[in-house]
Amino acid sequence: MSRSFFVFLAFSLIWSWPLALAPGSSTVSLHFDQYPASWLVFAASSFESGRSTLSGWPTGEPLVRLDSFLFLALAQALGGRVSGLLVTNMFVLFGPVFSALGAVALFDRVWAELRPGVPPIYSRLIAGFCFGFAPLATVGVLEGHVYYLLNPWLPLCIASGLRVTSDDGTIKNAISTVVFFAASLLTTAYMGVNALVALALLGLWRWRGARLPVLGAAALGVGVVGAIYAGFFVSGSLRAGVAAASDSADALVRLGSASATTLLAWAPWMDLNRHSLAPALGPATLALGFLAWPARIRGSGLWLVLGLGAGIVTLGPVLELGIARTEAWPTPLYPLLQLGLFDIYRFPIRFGWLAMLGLGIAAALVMSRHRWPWLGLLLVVGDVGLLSGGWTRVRGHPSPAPSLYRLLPEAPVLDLYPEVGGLQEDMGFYFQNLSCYYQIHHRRRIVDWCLNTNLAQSPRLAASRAVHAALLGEGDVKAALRPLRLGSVVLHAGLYQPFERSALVVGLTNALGPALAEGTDGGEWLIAWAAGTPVEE
Amino acid sequence: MFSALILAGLAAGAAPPEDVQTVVVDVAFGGLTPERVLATLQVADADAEVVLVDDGTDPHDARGDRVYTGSHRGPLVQYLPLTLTVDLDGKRQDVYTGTLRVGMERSVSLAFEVTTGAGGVLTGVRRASAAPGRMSHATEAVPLVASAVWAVLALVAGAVGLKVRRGTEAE
Repeated sequence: MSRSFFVFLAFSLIWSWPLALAPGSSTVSLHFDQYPASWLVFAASSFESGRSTLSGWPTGEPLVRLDSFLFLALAQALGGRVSGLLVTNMFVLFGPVFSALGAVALFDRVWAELRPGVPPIYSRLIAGFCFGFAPLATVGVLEGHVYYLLNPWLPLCIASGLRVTSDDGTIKNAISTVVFFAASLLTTAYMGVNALVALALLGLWRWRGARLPVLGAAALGVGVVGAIYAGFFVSGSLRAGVAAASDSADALVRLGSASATTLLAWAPWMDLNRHSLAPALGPATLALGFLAWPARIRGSGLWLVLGLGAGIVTLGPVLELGIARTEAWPTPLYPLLQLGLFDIYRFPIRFGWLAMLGLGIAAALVMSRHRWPWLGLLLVVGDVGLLSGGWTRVRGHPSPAPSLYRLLPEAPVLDLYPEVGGLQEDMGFYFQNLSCYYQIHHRRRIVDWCLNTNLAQSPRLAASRAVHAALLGEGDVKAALRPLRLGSVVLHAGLYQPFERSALVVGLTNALGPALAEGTDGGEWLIAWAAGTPVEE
Repeated sequence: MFSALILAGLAAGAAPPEDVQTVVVDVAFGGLTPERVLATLQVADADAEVVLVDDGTDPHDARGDRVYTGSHRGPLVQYLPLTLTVDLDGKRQDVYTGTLRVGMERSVSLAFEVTTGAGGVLTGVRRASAAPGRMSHATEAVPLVASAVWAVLALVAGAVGLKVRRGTEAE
């Protein structure tokens, strides 16, 4: 295991280069979701009764849209003593290593059931790379969903499930299955669903050889944990007012599914629209794993079915050809769309993790019977480094915060941004998350919600619209600002069209007096005004 | 002489084009579904009527996002008097009238939001907007071909190695 650890660690350092040189001040994330993860590390210690007091000024932010409770637990344990950017970058550097080791542990368990002796090293490494550095790991890094990267729980859950479904399974194995299932679920709900599907398939495939009391205990434990989580999730969704209309759910789930183009391939244009949801699977992994079937590799059937089945699920309820998203055909999952399941399960592509785990085990078994097992490792590393664009897409860039904020009163801040519509409307999330990232540095309360996934509910957007409407329509700016009880207003001047910017600057100056500060460092042009309203903290 | 005529023709054809201002108007309606949205722009000495759509036919519009978009190309102007008219439930209403300073910009994006106020009166208010741009041109064939080639390579390399190993074991 120690040899595998150093191989994975060395690869991770190269894969995320140059993050290892400046983990506290740079990022390799391309999009904006690392910002709220960093913010969570900063803000977790301030949460009170399910609300954040640092965001959503003046009412606070309800914490109903958390993705990873495990990440929250870590953030609260750290108590704000470690930089959020550093913590999230540690997930990038070390998460895939431990996930890969989890897959190695699963392969070792599979091997132990098939034949005696030490598993071949190349096969172990193949299993590890296929899961720990799966194409979706690159996606997770680029998107900023770093908590997906540290997930040895899924393979460990399945490894425990193998023990539970064997003829010498014990209650201890059942307990470990439930514990690792809970850990997968608390990593994110999507991983929990992956684990549930894998355990269900294990149970169906191997129940005849299992000790039924042990199997029953595991099933009961998983059921109880799942039901508790589902209840919490549903109540949180209701509180958040999440009830997508069927039309928008259809559109959303298509965006969260692989298409025929994005299933196995990546191209630079995929990263140009603030998301990087491709590819879902590695082509070499798929090919090598598939070989297990005609070659009749003993013990591979379950893993091939798991891998291919999960791979099909990544396509979602509708199979689209490509980015034009015009031609589409229903898949076997289409009835679930009509039943409304995809209103809450919006990213079928995340089954790619389970697919790569299954296909990786199958590929590892194939290469254990191969004359040149190192070739399999080379092909799988090619999947990670080249075909998923790992080394070209993952680039380091600094992540500064403008110094202007330190000149503001120690009081709540409203950030003003223009709106970007059409196919670029996700820029609203970028602005939201940027404000939250800046708060880590300036530590003043902000109007934005930082864990928000529904822009229409953003209090900062509502306040910003009222202020812009007053400024551009010669309305009462002070009346728009008064309910917020702010200390300052910051205009992100570089984003506006010149004719609107000049109107906003003139309007804010007329209403609030001369600008308090103006700055162009940190990559932005900002102008700030004291809000001039009494603030109660 | 003939050469001079050709050169004159070329020079005439190569004269710099008249400066053009592109104005994109976006109107967001939230929960409303209007039958027709019209922006009337007073551009220099002429009125231009721009029908705003949400069906993706305007190059600046994303289909079905409840933001109605239209664009107009005309001479550069300093100011733009504008009226937004909405047909909703068989009634025509002017929801916004104003004069906007656009300052001779070559590319201008004007965004509005229309909401229902007291007594069912529709009101349009300005939103500050940044130009949305369009999605990048997709080159799907290259990555598909690359992945297919790589997968076939892996399949062949895997199959060949397996076959040889089995042959060795048989011996």
